[in-house]
Amino acid sequence: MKSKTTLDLSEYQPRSMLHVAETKVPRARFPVIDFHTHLTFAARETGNVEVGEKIRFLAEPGDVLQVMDRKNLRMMVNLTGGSGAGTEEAVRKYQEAHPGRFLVFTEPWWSRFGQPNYGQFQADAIERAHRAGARGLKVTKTLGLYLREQVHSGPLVKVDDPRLDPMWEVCGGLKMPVAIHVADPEAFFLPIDRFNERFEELNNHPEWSFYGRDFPTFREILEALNRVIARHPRTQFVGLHFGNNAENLGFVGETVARYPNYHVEMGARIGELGRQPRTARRFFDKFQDRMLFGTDAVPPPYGNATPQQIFGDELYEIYFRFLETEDEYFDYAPAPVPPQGRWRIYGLGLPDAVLEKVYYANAERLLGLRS
Amino acid sequence: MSNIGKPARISAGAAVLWLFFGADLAAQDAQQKSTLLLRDFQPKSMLHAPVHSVLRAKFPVIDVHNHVNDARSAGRERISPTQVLDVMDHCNIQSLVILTGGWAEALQRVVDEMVKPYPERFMVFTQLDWTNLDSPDFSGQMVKRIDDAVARGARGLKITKELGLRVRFKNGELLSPDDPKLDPIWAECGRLGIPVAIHVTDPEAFFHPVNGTNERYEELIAFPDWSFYGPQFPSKDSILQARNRVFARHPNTIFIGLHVGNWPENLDYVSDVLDRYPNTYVEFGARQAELGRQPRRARRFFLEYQNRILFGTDAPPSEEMYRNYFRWLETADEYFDYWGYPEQGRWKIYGMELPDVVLEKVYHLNAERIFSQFKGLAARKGGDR
Repeated sequence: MKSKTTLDLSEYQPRSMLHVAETKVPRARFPVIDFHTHLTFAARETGNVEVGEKIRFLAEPGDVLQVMDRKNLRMMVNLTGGSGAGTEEAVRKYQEAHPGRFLVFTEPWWSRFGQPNYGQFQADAIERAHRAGARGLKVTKTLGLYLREQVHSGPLVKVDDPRLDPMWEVCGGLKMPVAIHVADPEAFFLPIDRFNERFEELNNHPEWSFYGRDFPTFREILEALNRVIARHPRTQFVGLHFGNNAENLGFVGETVARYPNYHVEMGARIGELGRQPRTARRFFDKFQDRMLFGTDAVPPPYGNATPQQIFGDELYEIYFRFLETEDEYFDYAPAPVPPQGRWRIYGLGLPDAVLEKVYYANAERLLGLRS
Repeated sequence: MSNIGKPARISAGAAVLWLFFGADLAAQDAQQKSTLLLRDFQPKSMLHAPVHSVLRAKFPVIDVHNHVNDARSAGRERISPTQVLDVMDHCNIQSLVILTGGWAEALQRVVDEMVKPYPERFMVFTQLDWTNLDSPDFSGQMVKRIDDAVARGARGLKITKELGLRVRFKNGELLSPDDPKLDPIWAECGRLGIPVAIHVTDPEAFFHPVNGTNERYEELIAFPDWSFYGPQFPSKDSILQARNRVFARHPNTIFIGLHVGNWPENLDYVSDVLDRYPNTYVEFGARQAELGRQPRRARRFFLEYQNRILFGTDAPPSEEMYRNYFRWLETADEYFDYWGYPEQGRWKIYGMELPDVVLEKVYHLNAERIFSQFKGLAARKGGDR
């Protein structure tokens, strides 16, 4: 192209000229369980490893419930419930104060990784969290990308490190699903340059780049997770963000087909799914029993740096529109520039039978909510 | 107390990051942030999306919108006819219509070089010469020119977007497409049984300011004279309305609205025009980008108006170009480049996977039906009915 423009990419905020249908979906068609939310975070962390048990509350339950009632959200699962006393506090504040509306997951004490017999310590900690009310385990991408042999130094700990086996095993025994986020979008493993389709996102969040240094490859991390899933067939794993490979639904489909204890959740990946609506729709039809609704919602102002995750009416309306309508060429996030890549998405128009499963039935089963 | 539920906009990203990761990372963020010019951004898609190549069209094709070796191309842009035929043979292009054939001697050159040696493969349209617009006999001269062009071998009239946007009388007034001065021309085409391939107005974005909010920003920077924003230009809508009045006034003339009637961004509008004027058709050259980013709406449009849509490309013939069009029409592939990406806008397109019965009509049957209505000068001699 002969373009002579010196317009900065960030200043390019094109308005669509298309005159196409815009369907508003203010309430979900069925009551929803949002399997992927963040209402608490560890209060302090260094290098993506928690420091202490103290947690920070990102929102008051009363405020959150108002949005939930407006949007037909039956329940929110707060994945990042911290560990130890933090988890107990989160359980009291959300889950016990509002039964049926919130569930809390617990997280590993990565800061203790260096201690002898860590695996057993961790398994015991999960058991204590379970007694305190925690309903699952959340594992962040800290595993595989940040956690090192001496926590902050030494070689990176591999996702399938056998020392973690007791942790995965105990979750199976306690029927606590493991919500796991390993790796990140494939583009995060490539140089931050003009050919990177998530250039602006990486430029805004350089700490999300896993290119170079001693990082494993994208593929190595995903394969390590698959070995964990295979090794612990009694444990139910939920691959958050579509197993971080929504760009490659062939791969995700193979994994789901191969491991009956594997499920996927869609939080912060409707951008990827929605730019391949036919492939995605086929995936939803085929694996309709294995998928969970999730958003990765973070209440404002904490979510403001990631517009695709800001908890509120707008976020849910976009997800509902994506799942329920066949609208074309719309934004996956309320932002002047699509934050995860410059494209627009297409709705899936899922049938009721699939919607019901994805919105709540699969999560109910996995979380043991059905009597 | 809560601001939950109210739409939040990204503001000071660094400040928010600080809450999450601490001041050290925020500072690092500010340091590392680099700028990139829009023109340098060439993102590579990470999607592992299936690719189905279509080497030959499923049915023989008539490309009704081409400019290869036209009246303007004397000299450097020429491609040898046999080279064009090679491409056509490889891709199953039965024939190709050269719309910009000019008139008189220039037209004769196109006829002699392309049409006469390969009568089954090339067709040519004539054009209007606006030079004598102010002459009281402009209409009569043009009618004679068209008759002459048909005698030389032209099989249609092409109207370029100059009409409605730039063609002016000497007093500076724009010539409206529905000016009565042009009526004898439209009527003559009806009598001769030749279609009028008409391009008036341009993409909607060309009528908006050329700035960062314009989705065709880069195209308008590359071609500044394609901008029709400003008080010196009529609105897009008013030009289309004038065009529509011509359609209504000349029901016996066939009009082919090039570029999807020049409003593919608004298929509801185009559908309405096709409903109201049975003498009209549309052609989709160089508008893959617009149709391909709304594949469901576009497919409904193709099914509903399958008898009214013609295949056209408005692009130099090449195998790669034709195959891109076939992929778009015949497959359900997702998120691929339209032909000429990214000039018309930074988005990708989706195939329509049209059923055979529709493909066959769009590829050649509809065009054949139009061209079979040719009456020629014999009809002319009979005068007005």
